[in-house]
Amino acid sequence: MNSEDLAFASIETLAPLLQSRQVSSAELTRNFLERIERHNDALGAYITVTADHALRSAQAADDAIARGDYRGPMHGIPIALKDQLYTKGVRTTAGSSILADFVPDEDATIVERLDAAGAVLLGKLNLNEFAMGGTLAHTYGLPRNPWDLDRAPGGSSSGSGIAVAAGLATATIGEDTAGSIRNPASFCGVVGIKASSGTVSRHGIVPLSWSLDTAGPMTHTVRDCAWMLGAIAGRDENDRLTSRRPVPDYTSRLGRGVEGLRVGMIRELTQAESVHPETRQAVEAAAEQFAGMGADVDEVSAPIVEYAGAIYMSFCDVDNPRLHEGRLYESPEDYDYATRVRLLLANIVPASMVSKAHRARALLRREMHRLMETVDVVVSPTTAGPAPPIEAAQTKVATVDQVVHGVFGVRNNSTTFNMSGLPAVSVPCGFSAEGLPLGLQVAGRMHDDETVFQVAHAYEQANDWNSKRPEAVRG
Amino acid sequence: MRELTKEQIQTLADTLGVPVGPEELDEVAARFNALLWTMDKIDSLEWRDVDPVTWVSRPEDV
Repeated sequence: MNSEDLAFASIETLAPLLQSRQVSSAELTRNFLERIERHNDALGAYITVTADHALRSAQAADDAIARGDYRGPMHGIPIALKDQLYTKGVRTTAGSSILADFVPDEDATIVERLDAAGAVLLGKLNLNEFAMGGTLAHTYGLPRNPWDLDRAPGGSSSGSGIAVAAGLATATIGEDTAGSIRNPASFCGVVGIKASSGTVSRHGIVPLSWSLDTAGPMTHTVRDCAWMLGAIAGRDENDRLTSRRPVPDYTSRLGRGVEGLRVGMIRELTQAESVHPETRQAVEAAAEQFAGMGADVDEVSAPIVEYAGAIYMSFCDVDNPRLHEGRLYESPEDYDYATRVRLLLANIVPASMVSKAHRARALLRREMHRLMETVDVVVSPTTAGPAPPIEAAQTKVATVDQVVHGVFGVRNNSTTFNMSGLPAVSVPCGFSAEGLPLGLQVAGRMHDDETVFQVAHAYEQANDWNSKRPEAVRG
Repeated sequence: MRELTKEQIQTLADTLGVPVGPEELDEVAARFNALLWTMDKIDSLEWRDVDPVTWVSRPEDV
């Protein structure tokens, strides 16, 4: 396997090679560090590279494996984290100049668990400021889509999507409050899951919304995603909202296909005017493929999802005002324009509006859970279209119409599942005529992430979308 | 649709001591009015008999 093949190899390819010592973690880590050095200036994926730490961890992993102390598929795998997760002794910026010198004195629970699983931390990844989306001036470099450097990589977990797509880490962790894992997964052509709410600890994550923040893996393949979720999931006494359910084997149903499963294609998310024709065509083709594989496929309707983005935007930024109120009032110019506008607005929104939005959110949740009683999974486009030009993704809005369509409407596909708590994965489902990745979203019942993985895996295995590599990062 | 003018938004922010400056006013006003639009739309939904609770409302969810 040459150095480029190693850089783009999945965990499922690398894990047996590491275990059998045909490949060393140190070799993999050095390869990634060289690629980061070569490509990061153009891509803006990493904020901080922890080279020395990574090389020491990789050597420790190799030594442990040599002693017969193999810890499982994450052992020796080079990974990177959205810079929203606390890392002890390593600065955690949340993409903001305000936290440029913030060095946590503890790890996020997720980081502790990945460390215990033997993963090797390459560094911290770029994101929209405070994970809020729409950042105009990125303090730590403009993130670019490896498939077309003039296109947006999606956000807010921009670097997490770029790093996997560009072969700058085997897998990454993102965080999804309103689609921030699935959006860059779709735009960058990788797999990413927002697990059932309560699956993953929020402890040690710079918060955006207490009731919506969900960290999760971004990977080359569905199996990698399932493995990595298994490594970070589970009850955490530091996060009272984490589930007490035993962590299942998320890979247990992979390979079973979809025969007999009921698959619903959500009309309002697939047929919306805003959905790009190529995206709609790709999702409809996927639905036909599921039918061909023996699934019972039907169009289903959930009219309330047409309000999802608007409902979300009515309360999300109000969810966490204390984090910013001091700094925002004293020196608002410390924030990027886009962040500042959202936080200022959150401070003047009437309580009656927020209360109504919370009721509408609960209604959406109820409707979606009822819908899920009639099917096993629902499918839809992850995003309304392929990655937009960077300039288009960074435009200021000045009219109600621009907000309703460009800010609220584009969030319907993702926020539906954040607000309902349901698990949703984005898996690559083709390329546009311009060579940009398209994403299929598969969502399931609460705490039935295994079926979501099962269906996404069956689709992935029936296609070959994740074997292509972006030309800009070849070699 | 109800809509507040930029001047009204500025007065609201000033009254609350929220530092909305000239650079942000256009977008803050557009977003505020878009939220008002949302509230009108939501009125068509059957939300009034729904308790404003999140996904953690059921013991089995946790």
